[in-house]
Amino acid sequence: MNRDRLHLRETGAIFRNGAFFRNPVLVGALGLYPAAAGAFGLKNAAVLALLFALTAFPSQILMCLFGMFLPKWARPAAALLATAACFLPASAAARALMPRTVAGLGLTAGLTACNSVLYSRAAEYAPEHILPAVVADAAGCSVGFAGAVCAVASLRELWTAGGLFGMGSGGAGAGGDLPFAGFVLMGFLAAAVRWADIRRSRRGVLPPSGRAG
Amino acid sequence: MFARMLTTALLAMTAESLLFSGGAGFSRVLRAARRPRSILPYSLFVTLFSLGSAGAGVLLKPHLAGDRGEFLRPAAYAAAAALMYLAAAWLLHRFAPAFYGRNEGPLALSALNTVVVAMPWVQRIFGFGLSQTVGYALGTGVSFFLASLVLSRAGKTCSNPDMPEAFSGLPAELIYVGILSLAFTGFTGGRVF
Amino acid sequence: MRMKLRSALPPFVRTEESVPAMLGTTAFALCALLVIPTVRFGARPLVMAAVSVLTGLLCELLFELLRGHVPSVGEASFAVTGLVTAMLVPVNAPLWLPCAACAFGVLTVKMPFGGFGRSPFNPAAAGIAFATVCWPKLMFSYLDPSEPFSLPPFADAAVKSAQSPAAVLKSGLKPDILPLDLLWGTAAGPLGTTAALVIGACALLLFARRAARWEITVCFLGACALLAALFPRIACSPMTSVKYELLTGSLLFCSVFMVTDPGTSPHTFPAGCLYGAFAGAALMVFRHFGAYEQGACFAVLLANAAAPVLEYAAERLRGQAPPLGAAKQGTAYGREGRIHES
Repeated sequence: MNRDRLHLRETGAIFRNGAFFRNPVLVGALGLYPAAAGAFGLKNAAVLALLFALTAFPSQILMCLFGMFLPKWARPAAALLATAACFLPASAAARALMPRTVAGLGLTAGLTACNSVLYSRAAEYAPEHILPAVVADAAGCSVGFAGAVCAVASLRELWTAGGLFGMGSGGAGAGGDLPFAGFVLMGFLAAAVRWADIRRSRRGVLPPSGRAG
Repeated sequence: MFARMLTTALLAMTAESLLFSGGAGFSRVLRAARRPRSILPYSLFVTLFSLGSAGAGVLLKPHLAGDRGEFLRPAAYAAAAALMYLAAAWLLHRFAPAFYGRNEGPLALSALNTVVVAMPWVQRIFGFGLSQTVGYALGTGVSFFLASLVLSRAGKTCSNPDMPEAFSGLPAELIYVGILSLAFTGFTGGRVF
Repeated sequence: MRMKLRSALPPFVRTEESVPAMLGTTAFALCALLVIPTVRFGARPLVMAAVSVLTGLLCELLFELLRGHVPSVGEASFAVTGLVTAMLVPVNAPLWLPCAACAFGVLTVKMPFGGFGRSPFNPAAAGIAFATVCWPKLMFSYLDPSEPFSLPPFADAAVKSAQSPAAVLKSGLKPDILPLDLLWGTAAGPLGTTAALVIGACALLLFARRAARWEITVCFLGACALLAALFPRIACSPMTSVKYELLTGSLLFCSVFMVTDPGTSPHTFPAGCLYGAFAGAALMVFRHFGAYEQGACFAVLLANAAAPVLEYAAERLRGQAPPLGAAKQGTAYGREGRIHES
């Protein structure tokens, strides 16, 4: 257990960091694959976000409760096994809600089981922090991941189809569903997050001391 | 057989590249690029674990048929990668602790990532035989090495004093990767995965 | 006394040539390429070039405004980017097409990295690649010069289209135009890439004025010619294959105006030769296996990405660079020039 025990009042800061200022995708450079390869439509993004959230909470809680008992060299594998196991009920729920979208995503949906955000939080953060912090972090990262993929997906779908949720009648051009569009848009969104963070620090609002990894 | 392996390896580096055409693995590529000394061991590990993952996919195939198999497939492939890493980490920890100590980080990250876990899927999608699977794994490892090398040399370009502060570092790296991916779209013309 | 050197941005010039003079020479050469299309097609090529250049300028000024800087343009690289972009689209394409390509190149590849001399990729190549992926039909629909046509300068017009010789080669057939007839710019193709003789004259001007490095062009063309001779795409003699490959598409134009971009190419002679050869080989690979009839822009982007690695490799071979990841403290190696410890 981390010697610097976190106070509950810092969980809000942990959540905010995970959601925005330390966004796992746009600041941490994790979870780039689903955003680049799968998030080219808002329905896809919704499924990816749902899979992420439903996998993040149980896997991180498991690793928080039991990860500290494992030797450090085994934690990475345990984290991936935990994520893979927790992915199954998440996948069942997503298939029940949006079966066609899940099927259309193909391997992108399946590879959520080894999403680098989920893995890194489960392997590195959860075993070293107390449960409220881990839950706040899982919530923040889920919101942050959802925000990133939905933002990228909206812009790409508007470009390709001229509308959202499959209701477009013709976009500006092709290519929005290709990985390059996802990476370029993520770059600009990451710049926007960085800009907000710079403005915040220049206004004298110091980054919170809560741990977000 | 060798020709088929070589052709598939070349395809893995170009038109059917998981990294450039599929967008997979760049979280790890960026991390490897920030530590140039780790690029070679990272890439070697990615190649070996990709081979292992593809082999696991072949072994698991008879047990993952039908709708139930499709449901279990992601967890099964991820679990296979985790078990491979466990075995490799235990063996190295036991018999080559100095080597393990130097490469502990790259070993875990290279074994437990999207590229490695995606190998059995790629094998299914393209219907690869043994030689093609080996070629694809080798090509993916070379792709990983080249991408990390290119990004490691581009580090200064992505963090220079003339650029807007908001773009310095990761935002510029992401745009860089995007343009690189755009270049590879010249091979495919559209989505591959 | 220890020598202290200042770091410098590319392009690295050793003569009295200044960066504005180099860019001015390049822009002049590009304008010379507009003469034949203007004579043949009317004012539309000029309008196309003008709107493309204007878009580049406006995008730069807008970006500077968003940064909170006073909008100013220090050098005319936007003009070169705009002109190169316009040269690579069909003359009958809608006017917004080169504008969209130029805007992408400037706003995505040039300005976020700090402007001219800092961009890792050629902005025009990135813009054309973007336009090719997003609007392939518009990018490869060329006016048939043998049919009567009427091209209004500003409005779009429906014209009879023809396959370019590059497209015919891509489909494995021999173009029905003799190789030497490709010198005069009478075949269907992008706006400024068909007049091979004029491109050759522009090349000589740029080399004489040191606005472009000849070794890059020579190695580029050499690699293309070698691969064309060894692996012809059509059933013909090696020499015929070389003539068709070098004179079709945007290969020649790319060899003079794009791979020689001083901001994105290596700055040493050996690295420049490696770079040119790599770009030429990449272009031929795209011609054989790529999805589009024109692969020059994609090849240039790949070469731009490889440039720092090739430069490092050339320095390693000469024993002037440390092993990967083992840079000496206080020194920096890279395309920004060398900083020595004082």
